[in-house]
Amino acid sequence: MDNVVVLKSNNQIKGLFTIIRNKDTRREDFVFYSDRLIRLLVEEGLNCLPFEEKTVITPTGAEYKGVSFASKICGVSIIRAGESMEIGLRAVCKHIKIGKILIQRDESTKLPHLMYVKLPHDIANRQVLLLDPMLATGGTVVKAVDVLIENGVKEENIVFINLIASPEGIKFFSSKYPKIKIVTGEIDGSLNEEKYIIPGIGDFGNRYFT
Amino acid sequence: MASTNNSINNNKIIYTSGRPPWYDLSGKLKNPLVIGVCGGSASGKTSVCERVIANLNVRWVVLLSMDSFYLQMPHDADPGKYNFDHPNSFDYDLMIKTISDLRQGKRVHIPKYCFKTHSRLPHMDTVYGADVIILEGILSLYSKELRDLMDIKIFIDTDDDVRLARRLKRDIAERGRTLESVILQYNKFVKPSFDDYILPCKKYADIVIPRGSDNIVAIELLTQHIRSKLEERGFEQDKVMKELTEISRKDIPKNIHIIEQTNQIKAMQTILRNQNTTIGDFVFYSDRLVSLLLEEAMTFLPFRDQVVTTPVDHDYHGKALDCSVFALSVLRGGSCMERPLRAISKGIQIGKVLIQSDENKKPHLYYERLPDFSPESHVLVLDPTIASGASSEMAVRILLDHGVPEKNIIFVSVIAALRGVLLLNYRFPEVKIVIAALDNELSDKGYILPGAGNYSNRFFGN
Repeated sequence: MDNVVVLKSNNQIKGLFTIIRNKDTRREDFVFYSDRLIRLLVEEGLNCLPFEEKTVITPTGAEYKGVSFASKICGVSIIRAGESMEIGLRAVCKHIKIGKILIQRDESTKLPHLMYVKLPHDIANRQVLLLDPMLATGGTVVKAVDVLIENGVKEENIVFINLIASPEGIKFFSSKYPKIKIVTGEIDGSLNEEKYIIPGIGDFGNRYFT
Repeated sequence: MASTNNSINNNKIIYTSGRPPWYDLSGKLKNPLVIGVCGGSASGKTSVCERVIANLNVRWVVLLSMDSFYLQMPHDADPGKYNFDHPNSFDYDLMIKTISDLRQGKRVHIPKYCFKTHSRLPHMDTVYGADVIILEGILSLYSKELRDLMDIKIFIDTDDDVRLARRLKRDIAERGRTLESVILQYNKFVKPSFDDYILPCKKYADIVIPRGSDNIVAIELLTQHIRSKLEERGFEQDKVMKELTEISRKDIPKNIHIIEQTNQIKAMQTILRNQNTTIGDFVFYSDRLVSLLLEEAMTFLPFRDQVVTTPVDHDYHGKALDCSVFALSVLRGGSCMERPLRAISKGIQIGKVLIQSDENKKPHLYYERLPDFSPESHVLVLDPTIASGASSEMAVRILLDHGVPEKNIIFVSVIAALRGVLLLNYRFPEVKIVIAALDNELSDKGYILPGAGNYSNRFFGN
């Protein structure tokens, strides 16, 4: 699928995933290595945004034909796990505005409910990096995108960044929002009965925060 | 002969250059050319050497003076009555070891002799091998074992009267000695030593140069001879360079790895290269680009397979780093890359070397502080720019001298000039070079074009 960008796999990336997927990894290391991976994912996500040509003069007096960002951006994290990705985002985009969306699953209906939303007022004119580390069923993130669209964000201006995605999740999300780029670290096997990604990473928010 | 020198003997040039490009096109290491220069006191040995070095215009020359190899004077000896012109005053064992180590391309430590206290100073000069090694001194051709290590033996044959006149002038005018004491020393030690030990060395010389440095014809011929000897040994610097420049950007050797030029990478470069970028932004984007570069560089380290269990009790077939990793920061530039390194590799040991180039673009090692490397160590060398490649070469050389295998070295640089990086790869084909940008040209002043200017200056603001 051409709307999915998977981080180019190599030993280094694989090594980072091995640490954070290991159930015996302590929180300290989990946070450190997740942050490292997230930073790489954010760089990859930024690369999906539009650029324009820009020529600069170097201190040697020579011209360099380069590029620069063509648009205003912002981040939106899905509370709580998505907030773990803000450090990585801020590490590469110092002054970026970050919006937040809280979506909770209704225990009886299993349907996601919007609990809280706070977005930059001019979000409609921005490219949005949507942050949520796990793409399992895709229910939550689709709900979050609904909110963004309601706030005037164009579908093609959204890049969804996550660490691990399930094939079911990608399929579901892409069927709802085919124009949104998904940037992911690795695509796993499938979901188990409790809708956890297999082999996955467990509950990302729990492992990162509590 | 320099026994009357009241100051610490620092007046001789010592080139502490890195090991030279002493590889032929097949990558075989070549022996350097060793030249011995002998002659009486004040015969003009140093001037001849300096003229030859200037004429040769070879990048890597080491000039060693026998004065550095004086043995410690016994404590009870009176400097006024001590014979500094006698063969027993010199440490021939150390000289022989030093020259033979240099011939094998090994690093050596040259003692420093203090003529005030007549003892060796605690600090030694570190010298890395060279294309040409010159040992000059009154008795440099005295020992057979030392002579056997020499490829060219030279005797400077300056008239005795001229030498005495020079010595008088020098010791009285420059060293504040009295006429009587100079003549006394000359008659008691200098003259007998010359007749008994120095002059007999003349018969071992391949070339005798009358009148010392005034003899321009002889110096010219000597230079020619050294040049032809170097060529015999495969010193084909110009030819190598020509072949290297014919390598096009398309067939860059495989161990030179340029990070994929995505818009993202290009945008960061655009900021770093822009002359109007402020120091704050320069540091920020340098850190960002370098951390991507280091992540990329680390993919070249050895990994082993590792299976772990995830919190949902499933196996994940992953990888784990399978070696000990160190870093070597080539100061000052390398320190611009240390923060992003620490951000991804928390406890890594970082060695430091300070290499500065002189006005002739010859790199000199000013400082080195290294962790304990082993043949199993893998080392990330940090230097944000590779311009001519001379200091990069020296940094690699230092690692090799400390037992790090060539294939375990990963050289990480932000911007490299094509020529410099090809040269580095040519000299050390197994070193992996990871760079963010490859620029085409090098200016006359040695700047990469278009480049980013002086990287450290921009990073540190001075």
